[in-house]
Amino acid sequence: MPIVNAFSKAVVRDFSLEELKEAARLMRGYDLVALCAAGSGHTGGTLSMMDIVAALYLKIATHDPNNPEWQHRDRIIWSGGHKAPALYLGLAFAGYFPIEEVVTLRKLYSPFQGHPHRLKLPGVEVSSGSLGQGLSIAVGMALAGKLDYDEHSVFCIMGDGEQQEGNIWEAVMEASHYQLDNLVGIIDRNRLQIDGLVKDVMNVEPLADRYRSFGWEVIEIDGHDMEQVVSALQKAKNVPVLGKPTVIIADTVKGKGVSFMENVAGWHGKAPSHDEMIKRTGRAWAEGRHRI
Amino acid sequence: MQKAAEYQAEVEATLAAKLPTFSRDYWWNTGDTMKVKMEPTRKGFGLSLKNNGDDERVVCLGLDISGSITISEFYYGNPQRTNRWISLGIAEQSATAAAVGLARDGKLPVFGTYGTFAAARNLDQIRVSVCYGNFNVLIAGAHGGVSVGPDGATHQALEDLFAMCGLPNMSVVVPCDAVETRKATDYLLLEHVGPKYIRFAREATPIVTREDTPFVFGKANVSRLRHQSPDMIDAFETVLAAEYADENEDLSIIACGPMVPEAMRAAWILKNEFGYETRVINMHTMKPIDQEAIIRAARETGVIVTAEEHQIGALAWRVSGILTESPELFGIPIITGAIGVKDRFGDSGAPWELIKEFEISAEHIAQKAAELLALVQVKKQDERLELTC
Repeated sequence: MPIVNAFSKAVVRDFSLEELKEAARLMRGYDLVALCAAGSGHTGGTLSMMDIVAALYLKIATHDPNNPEWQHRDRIIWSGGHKAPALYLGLAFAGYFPIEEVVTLRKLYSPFQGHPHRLKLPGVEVSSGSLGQGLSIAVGMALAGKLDYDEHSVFCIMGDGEQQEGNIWEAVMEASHYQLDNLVGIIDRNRLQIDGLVKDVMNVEPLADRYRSFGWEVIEIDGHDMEQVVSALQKAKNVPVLGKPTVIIADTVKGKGVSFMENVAGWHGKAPSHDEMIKRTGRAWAEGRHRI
Repeated sequence: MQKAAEYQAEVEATLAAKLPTFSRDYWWNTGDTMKVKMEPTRKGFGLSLKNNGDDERVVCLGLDISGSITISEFYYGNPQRTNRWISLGIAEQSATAAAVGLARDGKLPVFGTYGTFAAARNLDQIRVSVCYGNFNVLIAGAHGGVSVGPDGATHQALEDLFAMCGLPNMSVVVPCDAVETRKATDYLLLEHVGPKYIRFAREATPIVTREDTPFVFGKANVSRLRHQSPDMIDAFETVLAAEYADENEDLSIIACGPMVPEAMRAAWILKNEFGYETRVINMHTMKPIDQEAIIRAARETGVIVTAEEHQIGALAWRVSGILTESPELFGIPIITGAIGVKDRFGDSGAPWELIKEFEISAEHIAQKAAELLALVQVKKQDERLELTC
């Protein structure tokens, strides 16, 4: 189910596959504008995640932008807090706040902190930024969901480099021990981290086998194929294997959508210059003349 | 066995030589008067969880040391609570973040283990996930200080309070005995909202408070020795520092945790040996600390000794920080001393041996106070001489 009204349960907005693709395309544009205005930030990983973010926030997760604390909402935990601009755009496109506000990214007093802070922005479930902690938080939330006999799902977005954190594997173990079939891990496998290729920095593969051996259900997809993204998320949310947490390992391209950024490790933690931004989005974006 | 006994005799001789001596032996329960009952402070923690565990919001996380730290009291005899008992194994970092997830959904999560693994191993999870997000998580730093003596340095939490007191949003309570630990846990668990750390001990330590002794979060108590009596608990009068009227004492001892009973015993030594009157301040809440009680102690007594079962500084530097930042103390001479562990790692040994080895006993507190007061006397004499010249 998509965006709903928490009180009436009426569907407020649903997106078709084509609309999701278009939303993801626009979100990438806004991402570049916000990062350019900020002068710093994480371009590569936000671009690689954007198709999944569009699907999750606009079609899969049940939530109400007017009631961010609605008890029965699906929870989305961003373990990799550095991808905050993608989170902000997911919330903005879902209707939590006007999209243009995200352009205050990383500025003093802004609700759009460099890494997300829940006390600054409704819709942000937890404050994150130190890698490896999100899946444990998601485990705690999934346990709470089970204790409350509530049927919502808990999604946790992680990176593939992040799988190097030992804390992750403590949580992976716990999720299967407690049979948390209301928990969905999502790994943005773009295969790059700051120092280079994940396999060279510290190999985390075979990720699918590792998760399977810990008792998880694994779905591997092309993270830029909207049909596969939606189908995997729907399966994990609506028909999980009974008693098993699911992880969706999404193969993605770091810097996706910008030719000169794709698969370049250097774009992990770097923002585009004004010229670079225009090169990708066109002058209309810089001048605010684009259309949603 | 013979060899072990000889070795132990040598150890005890060494420790005896380290302990300051007075006209008599004041050690715990060695005489006919000023006796104390002893109970581990951890028992108060377990009792609180047992009493309050019916609250459906309470969820206790197990970290494989549950019986020892008494968190298992939550479900012992209450099998209906076992669904809210979540064993997470030896995985402190993940448990800390999982507690955040539970707190995010309105639960009152509690977890604990050895203080150093509850506050240091998982420090980043506490900093970012718990404190930055400002979540209602109760962390129990068990077996604090020298309590796990024979386990040695790795398990002796002597630095945990530095980290916990240094974190924004975190509240820190170090209760002085089992009774106060129960009250503090009651309060922190059910009433206080936000990240919270309670530190207690494994070893039996003296009971110096009663059910009707005040415990107000963030507000220190003052204990005053009124007379010698068969039981030490009867010899002291304890009131909230805010309600205490200055009695023109010679000095103040500001202490936390099991150092409070040591400070009370030191007050007894100082009275008996030197005739000094001591204001004993139980600073059970380390953060937010009771600034007014500290400023008043400085202004009204001029001599302050801090006592902590921790590396010197968690308490001493916070107290000195307040003295430094208080313009109302301008022009008032203040002399200070600090009792605590002196920038060293621990050693295997019985807890009470370590109290002597680390030089944090009442005898050491009394000796330090007497030294400071002697300096004050010299200074006063010098001033009188200057005046007469």
